[in-house]
Amino acid sequence: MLKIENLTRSFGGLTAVDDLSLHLETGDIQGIIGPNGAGKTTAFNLITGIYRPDQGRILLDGQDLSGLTSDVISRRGIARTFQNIRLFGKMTVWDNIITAFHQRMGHGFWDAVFHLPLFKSREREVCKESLAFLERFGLAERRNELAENLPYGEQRRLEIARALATNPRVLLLDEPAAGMNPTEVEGLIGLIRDIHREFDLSILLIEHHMPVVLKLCNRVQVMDFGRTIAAGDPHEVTGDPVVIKAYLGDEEDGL
Amino acid sequence: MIATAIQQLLNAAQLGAVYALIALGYTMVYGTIRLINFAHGDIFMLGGFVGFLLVSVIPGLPVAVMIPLAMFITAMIGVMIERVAYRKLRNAQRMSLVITALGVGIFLENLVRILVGPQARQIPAQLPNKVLKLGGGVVITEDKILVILISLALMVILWVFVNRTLIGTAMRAVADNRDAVQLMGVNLNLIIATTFAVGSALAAAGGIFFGQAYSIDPYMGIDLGWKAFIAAVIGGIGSIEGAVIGSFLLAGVEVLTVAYLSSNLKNGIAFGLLIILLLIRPNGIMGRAELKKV
Repeated sequence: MLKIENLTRSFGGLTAVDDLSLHLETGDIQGIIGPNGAGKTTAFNLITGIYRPDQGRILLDGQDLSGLTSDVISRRGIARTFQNIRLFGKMTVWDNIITAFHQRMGHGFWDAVFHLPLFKSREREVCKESLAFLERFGLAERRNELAENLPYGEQRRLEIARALATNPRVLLLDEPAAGMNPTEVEGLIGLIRDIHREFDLSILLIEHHMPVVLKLCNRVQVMDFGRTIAAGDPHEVTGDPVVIKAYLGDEEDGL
Repeated sequence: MIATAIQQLLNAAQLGAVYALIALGYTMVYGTIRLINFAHGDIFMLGGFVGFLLVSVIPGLPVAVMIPLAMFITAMIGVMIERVAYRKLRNAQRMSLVITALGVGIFLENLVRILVGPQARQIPAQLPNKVLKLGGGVVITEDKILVILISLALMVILWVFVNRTLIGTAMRAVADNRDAVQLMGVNLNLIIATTFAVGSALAAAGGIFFGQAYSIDPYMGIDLGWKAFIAAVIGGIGSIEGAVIGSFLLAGVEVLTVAYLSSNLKNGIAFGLLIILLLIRPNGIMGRAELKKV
């Protein structure tokens, strides 16, 4: 499904992502773990076209995505959420979802200028679908509230709902459990499992909460200083001394 | 006494409508790309000249065709300016973009001066302009009423466009979080082009109305552009409702100053109002405090 080959990106002297290769099979839930600054989020930014790779290729079903802009990549079927939630804070919950439907409505200039769906049956379709989305994620009652006024957990859910509204095949989740308490984390694990099945997704997720990784992922890849230092079965990999060292440092460091 | 006051308020409404048509372009462009488009006053001027040329080249062109056609042509010019002058600089320092906008403005003023000459011209009256007596000595011409009504109608259409259509939703999303919006599959270039098109079209309507009521010349966009910019800032730049409120407020203050104090004080009071209002509400009437994320 998603195949990353030898992806490299430097910023000044720092190689943030160094020769990253990764293969996400259809239906996989794959984890990327690693200490802070290991290049995980940069990898996501490369996949979603926010940065251009210096080297390497990103293939979605065999088609090269490297160098395409974010909106095109989104239309090809990759969606993501952010570590620090990036909703349209000053817009309503409803408008957040509607914006994500934008791409389904055609995107040529005249299309967009004269696309006043207000007067068209398509708008009704969008409304119905949008409402269904909000209901699915338990946000229907909140639809007229500004996104920034939602409690944290609901903002996370809205961000995931908005990503799914773009109709992706691959979903990238950047630390979805960050800042959540154990109960909320349990809920999140359930939610990811459900959407994985319901929306036929392949999921790539960055996460520090090991329980989330162990419960969800069928494969995990560990990054440190831009490099892949281990990959494989989550239970085996997290027991690997190299991985433990990357996370906890050398014994000589005084830990 | 009351009749004079009503008369003055009608004058203020007409001037406010023209300000608003320009101020909306400032505020929309600022909202999407955080640029104070200093060339916008000159797009207003261009709109007036496009209308003037249409009437001159095609005599007898009905006003109901002339205005939309001029709006369309000016919209395309606005899109072209964004494409040629601003797009490459979108991620450059703000200062480069602002200087470029000033340059585009000077270019447009001089281009029009070379092409049609520096003298002031009037767009021949197209709107019906019978004088109506409203009783109590209040007098208004039909074109004044039409200008106010058409402007208000355009503002309502804009509101519906921005708040009730998909592309309008995308425009607001760009204003809210430009990085995230592209990940929704929204073509940023298209949305920004649309913003310029809509802003320029509204300014063109303003230019034509102004050119029928007063006159047009290549430098008219400077004074009017600044005033409309002030109106947008008073209202809270980035806010559509704010631009309209600020425009009518500014026009009201100006007209009443001229009527009851002195025409010499007009600009002094207008700019004084700007300073006082910004001291009290630094983000304008409708503006929201922008919190910098740390």
